[in-house]
Amino acid sequence: MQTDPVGLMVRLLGSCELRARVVSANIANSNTPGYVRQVVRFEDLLREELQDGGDAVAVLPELAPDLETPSRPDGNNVSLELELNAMRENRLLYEAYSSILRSHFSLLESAISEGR
Amino acid sequence: MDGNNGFFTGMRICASGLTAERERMDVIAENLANARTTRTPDGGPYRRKIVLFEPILAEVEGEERAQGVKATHVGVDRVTDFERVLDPGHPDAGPDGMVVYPNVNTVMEMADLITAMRAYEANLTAQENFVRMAERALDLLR
Amino acid sequence: MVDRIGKETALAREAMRAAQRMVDERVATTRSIAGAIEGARPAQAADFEPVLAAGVEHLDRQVRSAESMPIDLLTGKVDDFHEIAVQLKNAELSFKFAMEIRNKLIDAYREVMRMSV
Repeated sequence: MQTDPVGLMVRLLGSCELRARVVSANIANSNTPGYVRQVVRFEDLLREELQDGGDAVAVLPELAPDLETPSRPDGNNVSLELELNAMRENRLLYEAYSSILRSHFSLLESAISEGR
Repeated sequence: MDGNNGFFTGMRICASGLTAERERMDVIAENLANARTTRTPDGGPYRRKIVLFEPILAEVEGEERAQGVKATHVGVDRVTDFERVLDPGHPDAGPDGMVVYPNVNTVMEMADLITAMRAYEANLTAQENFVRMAERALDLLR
Repeated sequence: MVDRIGKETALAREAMRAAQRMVDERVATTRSIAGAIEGARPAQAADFEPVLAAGVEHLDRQVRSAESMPIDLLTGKVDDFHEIAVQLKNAELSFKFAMEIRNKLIDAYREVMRMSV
C-alpha cells in the first residue's frame, strides 16, 4: 500500500491542531458545572487501520466525550493538570510531525538539485 | 483571516476562558470586600454574588461543540444563610439584639479565587501554545 | 509519554520511507529523461512531448493553487497554516524540478549542437 507521505503528515498535523482546540475548550470550561471533557482520537485509529491492512486515507480524527473520568459534585470532570499535560504531549507531536515534513522537503530539494 | 482557521479559533476559545475567569475573580473580590457589610443602600446586609458559567456552543461539521465559555450572568446567592451574631451594642443590631452579617464565607471565596487564578493561567498557557504551533507550521516555508 | 511518541514516529518513519521511494522515483525519471535526450535524434523528439507536456501541466496546476492561496487565506477558505505551507512548498519544489529539467534540456541541446558540424 503506497501511502502519500506528505498527505499523511498534513492530516496528522491537522488532528493535532483539532486536539489543541478541544483541550483548550476543556480548559476554558474547567469550572463550568456539568461540563464533560472531550478527547480527540486519531493516531491510535490510524494504527488500528494500518494493522488491519486498511487504507490510511479513510481514517478521520474522532471527537468523543470522556465518560470514564469521574465528575466532581457540580458534574464537571475536567482536571487542569490532565489537560495541560495533554496539551504538552500534543505540542510535541506537532513539532515531531512538522520536523519530519521539513526533512522530507529538504530531501526532495537535494534530490532535485543533485548532480550540481 | 477568520473563518476556518484552527489556530485563531483556538486562541478565541482561550480568550473566552480568560474573560470568564476574570469576571469571576472580580465578583469574588467584591464578595471579599463586602464580607462584613451589615448595611447596604437597599437595606439589610450584603448578599453574596455568584457567577454562572456556560459553554459557548457552535455547530461545527454537523456537531455541536463547545467553543469556549461565557459568564452568563451575575446572580445573587439566595441559598446560603446569613450569619447572625448576638451583639446588642452594634449600630445595625435588630430589636432582638442580633446583627445579620453577609452570607460570605471568606475561606470559600479564597479557595474559589485560587481556582479561578489557576484556570486563568491555564488558559493563558493554552493560548501561547497556539502561537508556538503556528510558528512551527510557518517554519515549513523557510 | 515518550513511549507513545516513539509509536507515533514509527508511523512517521514509515512515511519517510515512502518519501524516499518517491525521491528515488523522481531521480530515476530525471535521469531517464536526460539520458533519452542526450541520445535523441530529431525523429524521437515527438516521444518526449507527452512527458514534458504532462510535467508542464502538473507544474501549472501547482503554481495556480499556490497563487490562489493568498485569496483563499483572506476569504477563509483555507483551513490552516500547515496546509498552506505544504501547498506552497509543493509548488516551489515542482517549480525547481521543472527548472532542473529545463537546464538539463539546454545542456543536452548545447552538447548536440557542438557535435553537429
